[in-house]
Amino acid sequence: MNEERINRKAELLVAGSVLFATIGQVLIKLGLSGSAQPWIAVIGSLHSPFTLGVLCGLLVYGAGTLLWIAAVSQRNISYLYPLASLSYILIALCGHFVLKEPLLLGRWAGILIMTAGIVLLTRAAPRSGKARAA
Amino acid sequence: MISFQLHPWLALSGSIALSSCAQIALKYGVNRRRPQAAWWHLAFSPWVLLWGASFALATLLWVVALRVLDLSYAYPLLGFGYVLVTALAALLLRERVSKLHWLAVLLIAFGAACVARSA
Repeated sequence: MNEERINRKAELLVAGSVLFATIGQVLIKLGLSGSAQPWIAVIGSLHSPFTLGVLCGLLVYGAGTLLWIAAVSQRNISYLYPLASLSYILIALCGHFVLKEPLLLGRWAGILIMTAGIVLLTRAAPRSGKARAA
Repeated sequence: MISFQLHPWLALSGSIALSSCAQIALKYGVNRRRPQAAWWHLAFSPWVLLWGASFALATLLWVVALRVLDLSYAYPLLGFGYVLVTALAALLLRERVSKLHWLAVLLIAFGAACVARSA
């Protein structure tokens, strides 16, 4: 029973890590798009103090990284890293529903294929958390 | 005038390889941690520091690659990282990867490439 709880914890940590990283990137993006030209925004942010959005974005992104390290201690990396591909799905959905990017057939096909892969992965991966050889 | 030009494809493959190795280094560092040690001790693990340095260098190489290559061309190739991390984990960390697991990873990499390519 205890093992079951630890296993679910790893998946929750990956989901949290991916969610934080995505929110962080969106915040950084919004912070950088203050000026009209993206290049000027990137170069400007290096010289002038960081805007609030970029700073918040970096903090949230950093929190996501800490969650990722916590997740890595729970299960095999061959399981966790492909699982973190959830970010592709999350960013694609964000692009469509939040940023109103056009719906593309290829992208939805990709999301479907990835979802199938992730579901299969959660069924196929071994339950052990650590490598056998240290 | 001497100038060093990194080939964009070399930069791209280097970025993918380096970020994959970074994940293996992180996992190795976390595996080696003594169970009774506090979590923040990880910050002083050379393997975790290697992860951070590799990650930073991989990001730099990615930017170098993008100066020449189109994002819609380079981004789908990042999905190859899922295959590489799985292979390296099986080879170096002796993680058990079943055939079904491989199939799942290939599906994810292919799906990621589709999502990124249509961006």
